[in-house]
Amino acid sequence: MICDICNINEATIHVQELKNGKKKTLNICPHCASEHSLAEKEINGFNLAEILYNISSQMIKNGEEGEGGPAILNPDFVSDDVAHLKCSCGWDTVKFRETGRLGCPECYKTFAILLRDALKSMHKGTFHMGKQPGTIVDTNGQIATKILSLQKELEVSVQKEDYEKAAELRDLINSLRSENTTKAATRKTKKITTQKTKKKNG
Amino acid sequence: MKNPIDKLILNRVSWLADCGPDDDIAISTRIRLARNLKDTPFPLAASEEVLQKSVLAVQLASEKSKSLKNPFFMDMQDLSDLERAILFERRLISLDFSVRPRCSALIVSQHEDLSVMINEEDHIRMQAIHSGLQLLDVWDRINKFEASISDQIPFAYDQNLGFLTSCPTNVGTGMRASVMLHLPGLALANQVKPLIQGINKLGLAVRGIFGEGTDNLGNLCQISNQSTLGESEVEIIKRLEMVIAQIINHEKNARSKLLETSKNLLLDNIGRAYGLLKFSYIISSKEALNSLSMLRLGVDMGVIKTVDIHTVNELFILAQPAHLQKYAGNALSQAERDEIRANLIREKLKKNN
Repeated sequence: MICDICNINEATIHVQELKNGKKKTLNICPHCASEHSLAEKEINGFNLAEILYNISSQMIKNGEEGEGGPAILNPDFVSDDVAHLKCSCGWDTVKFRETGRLGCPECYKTFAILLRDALKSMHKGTFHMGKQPGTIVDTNGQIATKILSLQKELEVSVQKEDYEKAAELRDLINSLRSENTTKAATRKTKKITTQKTKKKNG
Repeated sequence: MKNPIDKLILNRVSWLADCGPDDDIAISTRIRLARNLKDTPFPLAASEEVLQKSVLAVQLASEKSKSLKNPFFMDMQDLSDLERAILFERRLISLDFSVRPRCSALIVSQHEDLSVMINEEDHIRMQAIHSGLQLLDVWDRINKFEASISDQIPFAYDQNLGFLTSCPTNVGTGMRASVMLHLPGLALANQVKPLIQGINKLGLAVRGIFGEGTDNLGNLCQISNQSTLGESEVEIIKRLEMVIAQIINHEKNARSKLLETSKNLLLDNIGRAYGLLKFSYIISSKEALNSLSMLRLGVDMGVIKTVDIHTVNELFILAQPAHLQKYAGNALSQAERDEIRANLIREKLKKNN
């Protein structure tokens, strides 16, 4: 099925709504959904940003059966506490759902619940595998992947307060990083040491 | 100082004009990276004061960058609507950026191969563009520029989510890599629609030459990645490159098949297009683009030997509304544009012979 907006891309988001016995349908591609959610609030009476975030959650809720079949727009889906999230930058759930955009970097933490499922459906994965600030090359992404899995291990050992293991992992990550660059590594090391002292003091 | 737009307009649009005989199907490659300043509201939620600060920060950082020498710097509010439209037609800025100048600025390299939009949807949208299919070279260019300014500007970055962007569809690498393809053979063989559907199933997006809603005007389309999280930049690029190589093959096959089985249909299409361009006194933008596409096919296939490919490429841009009005020196109505466009094309093709 072709997207109702651009008439080019395959529509992967299908919405049906029953209103006063009349059935409204909208078939769009994810690209148009995200592009149009900012420019125009509504297309054919559907709020696109809302669709983009709601539907994906809906799909996960139904045990990921949503793919292919039409997902039903359910305005009651977002529970009360999620509906009143507010970030320190002033951005809130209402603005997020209206625009499909976030207000500041911190919003990714504030709206994490709303974002989790949406990110899963938009992207190939849920973890960043690409370059880090200050790095120049990672020709095939292997180093980044390795660093990432080590970082996960590191987080776990810090949580377990196993600082010996954490220090080992940190050194390993740093040496991997220095294959690319030295800058990113020093920055991260500082962060880990401060975390450590905090934990000890607490 | 002379208006930067007046200088730019003298440039040949190198990503298009310089594409040579080997680039007959893949016209240009573009990669953009989205970045935001650390601990700063995104442009959509930022105050004017914050926006002005971001412009200054990015400007200072790029002045120090070794990857960008003597660039043009433009305050978007200082430009007229027409000038911004020209920048859009040259693919230096997005449509949204051209119609909504709000404390926004643009930095463009001398040869237009690198540009930075400040305060678009994200604080920084940097792009590198080059003629032909050169994904890894273009990546290298933008990657180095990004690294050179990241020394001066701390970016909004999260260990797990990567570079944080205003729209969650860009989070992670913040990268959109796109290749513009000229597919007249597939268009004549009615194979564009099924092809596009196939590409979409691979998680890639297809758009017209000037983005959304421009269909495949002039048989041109842009193929780009959709996902930005979960893969490294190079992985995304490799995946895109593989698909592009296949499409180029399809187009080549379609062309040779047309030559074999329906040669007259092919020649007729090319000949009529050439005639239309050469002898019209009124021509719409759509008609011009579609005819230029056929003429380009004729030149690529060696059917038409009297026209230089660079002239055809140049006309793709010059025939656009904003460039025409700049050429004419004043604002034009739609009807006037269609006449001036026909004049310009006739002249250029005559000179070429």
